[in-house]
Amino acid sequence: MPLLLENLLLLLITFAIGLAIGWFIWGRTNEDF
Amino acid sequence: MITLITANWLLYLIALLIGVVTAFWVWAGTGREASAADSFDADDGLLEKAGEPVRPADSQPEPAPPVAAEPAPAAEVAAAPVPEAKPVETPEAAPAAAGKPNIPAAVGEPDNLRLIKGVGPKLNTLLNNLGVTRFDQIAEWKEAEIAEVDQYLDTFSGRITRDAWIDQAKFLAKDDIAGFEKKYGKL
Repeated sequence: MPLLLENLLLLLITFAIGLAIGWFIWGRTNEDF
Repeated sequence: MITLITANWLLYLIALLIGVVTAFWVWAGTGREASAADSFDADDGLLEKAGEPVRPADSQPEPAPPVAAEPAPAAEVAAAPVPEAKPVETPEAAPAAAGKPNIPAAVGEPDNLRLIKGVGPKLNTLLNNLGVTRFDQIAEWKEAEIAEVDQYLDTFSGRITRDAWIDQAKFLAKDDIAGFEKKYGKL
């Protein structure tokens, strides 16, 4: 796999992880916050 | 892969932060904006009905810009609070001032409102204190009732429409658990 592609994929994954963390904090609806 | 991460760790950290910020913007940010807009609309609708004297006091500084050359706007300012102050004497103002929303009361045993997705312990207590205790009561709400209750929800303002309480309550009031779970997930 080209280095650039691998880099982009990893960036995308970290972005998704950040999104997931944010969803856990603010996105879940069945709780008061 | 490890070498790639260690070499560009700052880049990944930034990507992670962007992800978190995006999530905040999507879920928390829009929620806050929506609730602010909702409460503003609710205020508008309510003030016409309840005629709270707060509004004219607030609106007075707005139409009084430093340009005092024109006497016409000044006259409007003086005239504006008068018609708005009139509805204070309407009978609808009394229940609103009592600290509880002016909505039809619940009849019968209270339901567990926490079954509604989006209602947690705090919101449940708040709703019970406001006299909202049953699914069929919520299911009957129209725009006016939503706006009425919404202004008492403080930080939870906007949740009624955002979390579709009315639709959820309709399912729960009918005991249509299958229909509810199909649309909103497991209870």
